[in-house]
Amino acid sequence: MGFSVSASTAIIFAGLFLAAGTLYPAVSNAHERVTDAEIERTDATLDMRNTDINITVVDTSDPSVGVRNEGSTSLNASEVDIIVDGEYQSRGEYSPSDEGIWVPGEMITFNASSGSITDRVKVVTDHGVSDMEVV
Amino acid sequence: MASVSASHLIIFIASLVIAAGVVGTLTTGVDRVSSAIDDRSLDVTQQVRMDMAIISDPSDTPYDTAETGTNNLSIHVRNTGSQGVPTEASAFDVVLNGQFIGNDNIAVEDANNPGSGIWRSGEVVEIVITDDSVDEIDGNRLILTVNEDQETFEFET
Repeated sequence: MGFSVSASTAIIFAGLFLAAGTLYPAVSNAHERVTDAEIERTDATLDMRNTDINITVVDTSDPSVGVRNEGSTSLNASEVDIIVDGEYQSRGEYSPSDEGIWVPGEMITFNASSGSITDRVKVVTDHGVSDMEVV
Repeated sequence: MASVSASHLIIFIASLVIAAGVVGTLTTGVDRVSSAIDDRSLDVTQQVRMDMAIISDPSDTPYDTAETGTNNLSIHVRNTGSQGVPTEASAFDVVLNGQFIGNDNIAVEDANNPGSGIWRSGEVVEIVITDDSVDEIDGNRLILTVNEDQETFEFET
């Protein structure tokens, strides 16, 4: 009788260890994954709050838009979206005067080879930060 | 005396069988819970990483009127999150002026790289919605949901 109890207790304990061994990695991986995503989101929100742009010059006939980075984060001048009179301009349409990193305080002019700006222009940069100018 | 040993042996075997059964049930249950936690964490991660911004001009959103025969409303959305989303209509849920728009009436395409199957971070997609309920005089309201991230866009055409 005594040996039966010891043997079955040993089996149940071994099973408990096995179960804990399966559960722990799953919980810790899940936690790490979600924490990483949350850290990334917090960083992106901080960058968004530190980002600001301002349209300073708009040339309507020979279409160009001068935009100044007035925030404290560096932006990517190649990933700027321009909407002219409600129509989205694909990224090849308006080429930036300085490609690549757009540092704080720098002014960049986006020039188009054709078309015109008649009504309004909207410039969107990283994190969805935008500025709009009625001409 | 022999009958006592036999009954002890039977009880011993029975206790081992019951213990093994309990352990089997326990590990199966824990295994299921583990894989559910794993799946759930992937879902939550996707929801946390998802963020987007509707960048279309709300005062002048392109809409082909009924005269041209298409009724196409075109909006542009920028991925401001940190993960890619497939450029398929089924990934986008659109409610326009209170009416859900089915996948057949939505076309999604990368605005700068047509044919790209993934809407990457920092990229812009064009969503073309075919619907005749767009109010061309007063305002409209569009609710876009992707991976449980919701954006509301109020616009005029």
